[in-house]
Amino acid sequence: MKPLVYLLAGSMVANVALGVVWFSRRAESRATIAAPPVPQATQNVGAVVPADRVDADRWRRLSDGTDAEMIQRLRNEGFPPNVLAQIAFARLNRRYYDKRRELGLERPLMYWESGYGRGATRDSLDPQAKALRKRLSDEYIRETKLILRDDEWYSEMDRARQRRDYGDLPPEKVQQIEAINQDYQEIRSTLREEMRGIAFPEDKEKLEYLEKERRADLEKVLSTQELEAYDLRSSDTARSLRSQLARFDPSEEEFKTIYRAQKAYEAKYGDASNLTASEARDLREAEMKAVLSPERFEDYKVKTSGSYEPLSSLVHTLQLPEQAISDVIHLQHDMERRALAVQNDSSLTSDQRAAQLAALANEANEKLNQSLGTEGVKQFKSTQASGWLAQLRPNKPRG
Amino acid sequence: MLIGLTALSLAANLALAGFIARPALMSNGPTSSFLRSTEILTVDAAQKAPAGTEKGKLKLWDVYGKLDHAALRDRLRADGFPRDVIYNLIAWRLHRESESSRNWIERFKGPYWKSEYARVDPKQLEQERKAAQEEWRRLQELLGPNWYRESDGQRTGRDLEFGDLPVEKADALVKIQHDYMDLRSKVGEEKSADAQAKFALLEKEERADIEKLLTPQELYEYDLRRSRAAYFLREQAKAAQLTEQEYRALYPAYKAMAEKRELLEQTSDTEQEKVAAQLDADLEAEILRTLGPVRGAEFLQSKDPANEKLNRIVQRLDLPLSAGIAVNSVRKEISSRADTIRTNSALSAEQKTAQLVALAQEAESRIGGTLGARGLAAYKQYDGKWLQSLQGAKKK
Repeated sequence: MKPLVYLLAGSMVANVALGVVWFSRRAESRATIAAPPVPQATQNVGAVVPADRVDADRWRRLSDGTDAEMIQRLRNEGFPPNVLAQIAFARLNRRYYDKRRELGLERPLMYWESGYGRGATRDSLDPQAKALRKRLSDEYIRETKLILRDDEWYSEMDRARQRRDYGDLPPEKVQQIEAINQDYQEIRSTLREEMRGIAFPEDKEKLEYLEKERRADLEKVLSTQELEAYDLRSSDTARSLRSQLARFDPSEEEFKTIYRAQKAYEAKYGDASNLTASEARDLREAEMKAVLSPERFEDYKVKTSGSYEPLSSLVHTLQLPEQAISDVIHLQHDMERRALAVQNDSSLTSDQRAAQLAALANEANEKLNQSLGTEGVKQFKSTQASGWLAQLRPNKPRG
Repeated sequence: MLIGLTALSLAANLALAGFIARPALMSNGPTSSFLRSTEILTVDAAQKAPAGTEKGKLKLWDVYGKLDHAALRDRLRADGFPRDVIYNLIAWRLHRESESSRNWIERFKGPYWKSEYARVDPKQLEQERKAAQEEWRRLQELLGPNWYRESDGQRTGRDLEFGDLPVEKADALVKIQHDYMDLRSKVGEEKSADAQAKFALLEKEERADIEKLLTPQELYEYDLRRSRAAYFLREQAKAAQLTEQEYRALYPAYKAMAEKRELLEQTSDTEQEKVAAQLDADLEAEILRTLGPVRGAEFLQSKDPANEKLNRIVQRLDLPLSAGIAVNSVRKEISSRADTIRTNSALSAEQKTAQLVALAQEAESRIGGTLGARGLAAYKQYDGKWLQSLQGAKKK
């Protein structure tokens, strides 16, 4: 009989244990469904409904308190870094959007105003509003950095970009550089916005001063070698070259050579704002001609032209010979030079100037027809690559 | 008796174990069908939790991370998450899954001297463009057509874009636009004649659908905001800063011109230039008639793209647009006098040069009087090539 007694005793113990488990689960289940909302002041944010149950109050409990507390709770719940960043940004954006509206830093863009359709609001250009906007923007960044850790703040794409832009620099130096650049970038953007594309001498002085200061700040953070490497990867010149040379596809050595030639050009002509686009291009090309082989220089002229991309697409669509791309780009450069000479010729009357430009336009159309054919010319004229043809039209008298 | 008791106890063991294993059967509170369906989803997700995650210690993301987009959206809503957080999360997940996002990360992994654009095959770019459109379409599908307007910075968008249009009509309008955007993305190479014909047909059909949806008055208000004519009017009025009343008064003339230009595009090149010039002249006459001589002249000053730099200089100097008109008037007069000098056969080359240089000096003095010294310097730099060409005679 003894085994039966042991079995009964064991089973009864098991019943007690199972009963305890059942009652506790049942109580928990009832609490999930029937418990009345707990007033916020007494809400224990740590008390959670299991993750596999719906809980209409979950967000309120998760987001109770400061942003940092909220993010920490979500972190504890296993939310991945990028998701934490999305939630932090959503919350901060909402709050800062409301702040900007309350302070009148943005005004709605009306349907009869230029720029309508490219965003719902426009920044107020009032100086006080600008100062407030800058303060809010600083606060936003500060707050975000307090809430999120570095691995959460930067996305995978940010990290890939940083590796490309800063090489092996330690993360703390990268952060310092980005902070310096961001500060100066904001001031420069405000200044450029005010300039509306017209730089008075005092604007140029301000921009030069800012650049000097930014450089001094970078020099404090980086050694001479680090600064050289940084310039080659991330200076304004390097970034703009990287983009200009996309189709030219340079080797590392070519990139370094062109970078040095570009720096020499910038040292001689500054921002070239007193030159026409074709004058600036001719001067830049003169620098490049001196450092590239004849074949690669030819490539450089064609593949760094703004017309290359649309023309290449057109030529491939219409299955025209590849040569048509460089023919049309050379034609464009030649016509731009000759049109400029006609415009600048002081001995010409308006009528004579118009006649000479019309002759150039005829010549250009004939040559375009030879390279692209009738259908090609028709399509070419609807692309951005045909903008230069407008220079061959006589100026309409103004006033 | 002992046998009976033992059997009874064992049966109770089994019953209790069964109840514990099936908690859903024990809950006796009322639950909506939506909550029940979500619970089933989440319990299912919990069962698929990663190895090592103990049941009962399940973290929220162990559950959320396993849900598909629609289930995650529903679950976040049921858990009381606010709209903008839901939108950000779903948009982020869709973007992370898209080909475009993965490709961009790969591109940044290239060497520093190569642009992220350098290694991209145009066909791949095209695929990515389609992937981005698909991402957008899925967002619409999951979150509704106007989801983006509910998020940061876009909350006033609807009022501005659609005026007083009822919300459901605005939603339907956006849906039409996105449906056609989808259809356009499926048309082949943009430059081929076949594609152009398809685009034209789609534009016609889209317009017909919009016309069916809106009343004539609503359609007028929509066009006033979104049509090509509206776009040109706004851009050309940039420096003149029209009032709403002036904008509405000018819109019919722009609408009529846009319609005529559309017809004109179907004619030959030589014909086009002639008729386009006449259309422009008619439009300018209408502008002067509608706005009167003063505002009309200011609008024409703003409208001519050749004046863009001069207008910006005037604006930067906080001068009225009439200052720009005055400068152009000097330019016109001096240019005409310069032509007279150049064609005067009684003058020697030296005499012509001297007179042209004097003319340039007179022009600078008069323009400086209007714009001031800073303004004159900026004008000479950005819009003063013609002055240099008068001076050029001296240099030669």
